[in-house]
Amino acid sequence: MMWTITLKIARYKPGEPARTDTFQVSIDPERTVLDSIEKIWAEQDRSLVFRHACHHASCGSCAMVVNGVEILPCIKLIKDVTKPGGTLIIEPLHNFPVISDLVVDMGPFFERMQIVKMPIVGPADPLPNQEPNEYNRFDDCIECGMCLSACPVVATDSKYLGPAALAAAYQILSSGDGNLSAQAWEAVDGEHGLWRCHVAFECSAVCPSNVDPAGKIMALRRRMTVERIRHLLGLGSSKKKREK
Amino acid sequence: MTSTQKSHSAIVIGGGSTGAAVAHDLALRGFEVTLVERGEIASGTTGRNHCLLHSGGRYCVNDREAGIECIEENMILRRIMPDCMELNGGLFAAFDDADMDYLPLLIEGCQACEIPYKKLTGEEARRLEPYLSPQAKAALWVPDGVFEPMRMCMAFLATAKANGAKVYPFTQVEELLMEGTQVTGVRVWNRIANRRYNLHAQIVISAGGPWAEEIAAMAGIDVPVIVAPGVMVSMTGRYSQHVINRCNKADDGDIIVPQRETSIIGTSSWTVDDPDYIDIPEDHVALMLDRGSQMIPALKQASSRGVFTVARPLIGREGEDEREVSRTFECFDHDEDGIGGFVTISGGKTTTARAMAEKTVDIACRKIGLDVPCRTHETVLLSYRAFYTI
Repeated sequence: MMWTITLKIARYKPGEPARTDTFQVSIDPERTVLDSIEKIWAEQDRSLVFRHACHHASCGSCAMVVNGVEILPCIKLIKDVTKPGGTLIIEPLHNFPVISDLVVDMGPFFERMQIVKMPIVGPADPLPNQEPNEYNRFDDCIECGMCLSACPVVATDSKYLGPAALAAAYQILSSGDGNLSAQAWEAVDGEHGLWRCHVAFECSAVCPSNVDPAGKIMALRRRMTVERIRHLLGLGSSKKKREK
Repeated sequence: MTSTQKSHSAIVIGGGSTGAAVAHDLALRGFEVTLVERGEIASGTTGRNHCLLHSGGRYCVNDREAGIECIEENMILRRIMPDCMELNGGLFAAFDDADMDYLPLLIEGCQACEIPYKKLTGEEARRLEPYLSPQAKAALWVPDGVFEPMRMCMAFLATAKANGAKVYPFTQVEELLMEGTQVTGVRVWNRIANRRYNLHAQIVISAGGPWAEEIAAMAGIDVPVIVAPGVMVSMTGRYSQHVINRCNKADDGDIIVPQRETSIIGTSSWTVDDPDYIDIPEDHVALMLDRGSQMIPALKQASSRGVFTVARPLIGREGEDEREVSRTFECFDHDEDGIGGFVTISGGKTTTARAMAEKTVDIACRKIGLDVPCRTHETVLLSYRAFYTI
């Protein structure tokens, strides 16, 4: 069974006005939104640029906005976002500089992740009935940028550290002997850090990997509040953690 | 460009694992490097691979050369990108008599290729991996691992950029520039700016994977590439820590790779002519689920998170059985075809990308009379994140 659907894709090339191009594509509804875009590129318009690599929600590169919502198109099936004859409105991530078409500059995102420096591989929990061992695994956060795109604070404060990096900071602090660098502390607790969050929880709503950045930002605030009170009372830090 | 103009230059075509490793090796040996990739980095074969850091166990019985390459590179990659891998080992598990007959062959292969292994009883294997089928009769532990292909490319390219390489994604080669029988550069279509222009270098290296044949044809050269896709199904949930391989000769659905909170079952194998867009045969998906759940029955109840296919480039002629073609790589110095300044690297796999690059850059150096040793085996790579921030 094939469906014919319409994709209205945001187009932009440096030096040219932005526009929207409309494509019709015939595709199996069991295939993904990314497949439909790749098919348009292969069969209709080779000038279309979009980011993609793993096609199974591991690399985080293909994130975009479809019908107004941040999604990972590589795991979003056509049948789950439209109907036969339906239309998909495809845009690049919001709150990022657009380089061309659906490609945004991920530089600002990775600069933030570099400040916090969360290891991408950490300990894996044992499976049920499994003897404990030193197993490790890639972190849930795939660094796709969807949380920054959905965040209302990023939209108004371009220097905001943002949900992914703040969640990463909490993760480092709550791991066994994790420490944040002085630079990371300054960014997390500074003017553009965790206190800017408006608690909209949009980041947790769009996260494709169940990281729950908003929940982690709230936990980070609780922790920081305790630290500040301890500091005021002259009790020192609850944990040695301001080391470089 | 640094103040000291580099005297040797190369263009690399392709931003998959091979091209990324070649660019890194060239930059380390002092070349002025330009890498062009028609899409995003790792958007072709590499990105969609199975994420398996091979121990060589899969190849050591029938393809010793590939088995030895894998274990050597496995040990090197652990050193040069230690922060970017799940290193939990792999099991070759035997579930029936035919699998048990294969086990001694596998052990012999591991010995021949010097792959470390440990024999386990079925009970020991299930103690390590509780979701393993109760049918498991025995297993062989090997040092398989799991990586993230795009991040691996990023790590190579971040380091290459730090050493002066220029990396241009979304830039497609449309023509090889020739002066007589010498390749002198490439004409590219920069799809970001929608502009076409020429780039020049002493040597052009094609690392186009399944597209290598198409690229070589621009110089009138025939490079034999079989385009052999395979289907992989990513299941929600992690059902093992080890990579689970079927202890038998390579077949459909003989491996489950755990990665993050998913389990990736693979893979099938067939051949196509055009690697640009490959339709996924629905029966392959059902076959993966069926074969995978023979090894881990709980996968029957799991939900599928993603289905994808990838075009493997194998070196060989059409008509050869793609399962039997060697998974080793081959570097073609096209001087032998009467064309100067042009090299193709093809075949191989992401696990052996560094070794492929070493051999390719050795040839590039020889062609221009440069004697600089390879250092990629001992050079720890920068964080993949630096790719975006350098």
